[in-house]
Amino acid sequence: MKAPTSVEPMSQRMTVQFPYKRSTGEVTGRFLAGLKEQKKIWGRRIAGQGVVVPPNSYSEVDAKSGGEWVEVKDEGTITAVGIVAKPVADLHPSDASFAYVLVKLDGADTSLAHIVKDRLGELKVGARVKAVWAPDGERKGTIRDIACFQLVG
Amino acid sequence: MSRAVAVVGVGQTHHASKQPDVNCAEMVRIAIDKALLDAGLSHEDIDAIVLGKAPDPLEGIMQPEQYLAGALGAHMKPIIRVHTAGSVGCTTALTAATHVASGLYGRVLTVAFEKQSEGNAMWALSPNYAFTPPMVAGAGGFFAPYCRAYIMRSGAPSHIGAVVAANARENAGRNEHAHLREPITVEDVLASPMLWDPIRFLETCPSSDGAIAIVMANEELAKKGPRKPAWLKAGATFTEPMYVPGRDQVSPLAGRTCAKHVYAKAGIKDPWNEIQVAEFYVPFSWYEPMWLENLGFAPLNEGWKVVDRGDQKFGRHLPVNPSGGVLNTNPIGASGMLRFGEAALQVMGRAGEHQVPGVKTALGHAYGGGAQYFSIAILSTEL
Repeated sequence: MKAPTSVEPMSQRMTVQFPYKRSTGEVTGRFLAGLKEQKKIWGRRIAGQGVVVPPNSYSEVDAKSGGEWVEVKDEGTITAVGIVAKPVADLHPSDASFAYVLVKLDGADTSLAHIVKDRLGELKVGARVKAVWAPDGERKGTIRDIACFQLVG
Repeated sequence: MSRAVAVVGVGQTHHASKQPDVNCAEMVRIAIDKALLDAGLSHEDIDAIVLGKAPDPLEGIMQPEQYLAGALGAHMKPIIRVHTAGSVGCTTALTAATHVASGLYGRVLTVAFEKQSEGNAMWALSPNYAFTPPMVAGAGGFFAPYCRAYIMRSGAPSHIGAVVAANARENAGRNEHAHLREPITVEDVLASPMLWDPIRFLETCPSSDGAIAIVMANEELAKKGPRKPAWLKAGATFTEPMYVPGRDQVSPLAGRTCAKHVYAKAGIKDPWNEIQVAEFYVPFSWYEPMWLENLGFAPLNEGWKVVDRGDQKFGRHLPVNPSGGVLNTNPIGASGMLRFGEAALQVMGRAGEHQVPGVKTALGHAYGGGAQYFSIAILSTEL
């Protein structure tokens, strides 16, 4: 007998998944605790970088440790926007059309990545947005404790 | 003509089963801060960064070199990430050395880490290769048959593995950074559960969180440092594919070739008598006699006799893994660099309580994959 000479293109499905558990470290932990317990957004003033949100325990510029806590507003200005018209279920952070945005919060010198779910046609760089908080009792100490941002006015 | 390379600073974290107070970035920074302090340098003195770690599925952080760039001090500097499975730490150190040897970079920071508590090594190291049955054997299940083959062909008595494990633990007791330090006896090892015959629980490496960082420099800059460096006399990596016909998995050709290569380059004719201390990658006890043979310290099938005589113990002819080795500390990605770094510390006379007296030449070794990647470094007090 000979080996099969030709076959239809074949494929096999596989799923790779594992439930990881990540240590936040102290600085990220305190930032997340601010979201969960205070509905406040805390950044860190780091030499050479200004106020960094989300905060770090070190400078991304010169790798030195340090910084001091600074509260920033939960409102800011969009610096970049990308609309996802048709999200993929279980993959994207929203089932309905949404936009990825970078938001420079008032008082911060860096932009935070998040999503906007409404009035997508009105989004543009320079537009003002405000955080929509997850309700009390539903915040878990993750970045999704800010449910999304929405246009102001 | 490549340039001389020196190790001028070594720093490592304490290694433990869990370091829950820090994230990966903060953990590697502990090692980096210590290495820079050791070298009397700061981040601005570093010209390039070389990062190593084992497969990304261990922590589930894809492309850690991207996430860690700022933490490593890579802003406006080149960074590369190296991956060669378990051997990656030693290969990463040698990649950093190549950066210096090339003459392109004066000082290079190299870092390796693993934070095993965030995932599961057994799962992460059992890849779902396309069109093969998933075994989820982990490393122990994979290497146990090779250990059994070694026992069968060498005629080694069954207690040898336990002797290795008890001795490694005694060594780890002298290493303040080691993960497992509680003394164990040969009887304890023999009484521990058989995980993957012939490998028992106490003959198996732990899962550790930890990191190591090393600063390397060229000759001119190394001589400006605060203390005597360790000179890299030779370093090499060799590879063999998994299913080459006639492959000897017990004493792989790539390992033997790698050893011959570095000995020739370092001018070593008789490693047993010319090297004073060796750090081998021994994740399962039987690999100590296996590597004694593979690296040319003992004739074929006689590595176990060295262990039986105790000539590889601390204070004897050739201390092997005076740090306690991988059997007692295993942040996988860092484990190979720990072998390199411990060899460097021995040469610099700064290994602390586990310092072997009078070390002039030390060997650091790591292997990885299905015993496919080999990486060896010879470090010396002399340029």
